[in-house]
Amino acid sequence: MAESSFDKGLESLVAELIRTHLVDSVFAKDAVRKGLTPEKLESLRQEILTRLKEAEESGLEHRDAVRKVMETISGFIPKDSLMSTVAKSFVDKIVPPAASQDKEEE
Amino acid sequence: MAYWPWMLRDIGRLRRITSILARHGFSDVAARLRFGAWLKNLFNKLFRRPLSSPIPIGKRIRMVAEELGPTFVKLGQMLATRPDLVPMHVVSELRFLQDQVPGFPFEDVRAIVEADLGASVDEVFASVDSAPIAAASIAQVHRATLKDGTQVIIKVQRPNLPETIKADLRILSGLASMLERRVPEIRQFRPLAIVEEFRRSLSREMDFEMELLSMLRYAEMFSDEPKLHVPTPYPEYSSKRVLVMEYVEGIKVSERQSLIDAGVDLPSIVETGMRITLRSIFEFGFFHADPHPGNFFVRSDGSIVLLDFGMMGSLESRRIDEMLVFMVAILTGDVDMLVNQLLDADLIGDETDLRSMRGDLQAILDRYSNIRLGGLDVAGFLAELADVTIAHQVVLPADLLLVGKAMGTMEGLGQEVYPEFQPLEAIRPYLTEVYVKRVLDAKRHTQTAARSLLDGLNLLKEAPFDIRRILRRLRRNEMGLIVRSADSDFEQRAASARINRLIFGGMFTLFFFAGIFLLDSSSPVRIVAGVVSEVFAWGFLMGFGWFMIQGDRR
Ligand SMILES: Nc1ncnc2c1ncn2[C@@H]1O[C@H](COP(=O)(O)OP(=O)(O)O)[C@@H](O)[C@H]1O
Ligand SMILES: [Mg+2]
Repeated sequence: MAESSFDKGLESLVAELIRTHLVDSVFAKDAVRKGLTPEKLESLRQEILTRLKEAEESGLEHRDAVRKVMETISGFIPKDSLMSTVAKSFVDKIVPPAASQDKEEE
Repeated sequence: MAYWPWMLRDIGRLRRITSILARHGFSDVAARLRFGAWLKNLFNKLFRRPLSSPIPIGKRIRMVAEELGPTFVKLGQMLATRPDLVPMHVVSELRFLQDQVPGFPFEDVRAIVEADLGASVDEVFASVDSAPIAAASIAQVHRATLKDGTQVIIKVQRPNLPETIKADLRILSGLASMLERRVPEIRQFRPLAIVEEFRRSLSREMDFEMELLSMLRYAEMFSDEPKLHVPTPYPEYSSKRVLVMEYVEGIKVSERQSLIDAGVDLPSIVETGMRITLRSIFEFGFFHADPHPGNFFVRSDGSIVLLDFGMMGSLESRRIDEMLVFMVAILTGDVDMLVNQLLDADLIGDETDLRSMRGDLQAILDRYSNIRLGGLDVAGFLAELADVTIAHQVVLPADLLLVGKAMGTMEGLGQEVYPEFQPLEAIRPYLTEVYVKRVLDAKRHTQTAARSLLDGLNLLKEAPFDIRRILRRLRRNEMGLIVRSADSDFEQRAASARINRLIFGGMFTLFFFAGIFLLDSSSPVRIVAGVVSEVFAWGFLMGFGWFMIQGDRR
């Protein structure tokens, strides 16, 4: 199965979510800090960040596809329904328009 | 007696079982067997009440099994990996079960090889050593030379093995179903299911074609590992009952003195063995479930040869994740991580008192972390862990116990070869690293989303009510609250874990359903919309993950 551009776009998004929201908390876990030496922790962290960055960048051009897809579909949900609100907030949160990438959520 | 047909059929065998039991001091049980009134509390008697013999009960059970032959030896070996079913003192004795049995005549070897390979022994091999180099309950092994001069071994299955084992299995499942019907206390151990599982694992072990495939797969997995060698099998000379493979020269890892005399680097052998075991479990999910010292050879260049791929364990990717979290939690003594993982894996029943279980688990973790420097008894530890969780109505998955067995034997091996070996110190960095990498792997998460799509489909069939409930909750605006309640209060966490699963599945299914609905009509626009909707269901999944992460950080 060849990777579609949606896959790549999604992976790019996932990679960014992981990088900005998950990496710190995983490395802050007691279990992890106790499991490796500080040097090893640091090199592992760098290794992972590099890998995530790569995934992020290689899928960057496909992200728009993901966002368009999601916007289109949320257009099919009846406008005044609860689902539509939920869906819209998902789209905004998951795939923020390229310019306004909010780093830290409220 | 009419409803005991299995008993009538195998009456001779049954009489032998009875007399062996009697000789080993289980006369009470034997008497009950003979008169048919033995059922009540049979297991309780076997395991708890001291019976009339000065020899410890576990040891007597072992002796009975050895005398009863292959099926019971194998059953004992299987039960030795199930501390959730059998008391600890019996388990530790069952580990010593030997299956050293007399060999069978070379004429039978000839006959089986000819029947299965369709050519006479002399046509296939240049020479065959008629004295076996090993004989066990399933097979015996002969050295031989191929026509081109290659040194090989032939592993030949015992003649009439399926028949013998079948009769024993009939007796076992007869007993099991009686127990299940008549003795409510035993029902929770699901004797029938155990016999069934046993039958399956035994029939896999009796299929050498399967073993051959396992060898090839294992060799392929570790093609990047120069210090491991798996003998090359010869499919063209193999069948279900005959397995021909390259002969390898080596020292059994249990022969410590010979290893020292040969000048091999003991710590590095233990390190390699441990690394291979861990990689097979946590990287490939396909591992040697019976890595006892007899199945390890060491060569003079310090490489390890692994033999006997009859019993393999395998783990799904999701199970590997669960297992990793368990192991990391255990190795670092993080009791909250452990309890949360039990919750996430949905192993905890509604009646479980989480606080008291946490306390008990903490006690074990503390005790084991204190003896850390003396080396951790992984198998013993897992057994105790199983005791505690069972007491709290948590059923540990059988694969965890199989993993425990594999790691436990590896550890024993380490102790034997190199007593200063510290398994915990050896395992911990490796597991932590694998864990971190898996948790932070973007590709894997993206793929998991695809898999969940299928789960969502299944949910769709089963859970319309759940969806309605979820919608109600959503309307009451409870969702944010639920999703964010990632505090350390276990009761609440348990509740929210369940609810989260519902919401998660429900939302996902909604999108998915919308997609199917749209796909169902013929307009091209709608078909596009349908596809897109599936995609959105997917996206939802990621969004959900993101919410969870946010919740966690709070
Ligand atoms: N490829 C081999 N080269 C040399 N000896 C072997 C080989 N395979 C098996 N043996 C010998 O035969 C014994 C039994 O083989 P094994 O595959 O473990 O059978 P079983 O399933 O009956 O335990 C091993 O312990 C080892 O001594
Ligand atoms: Mg063996």
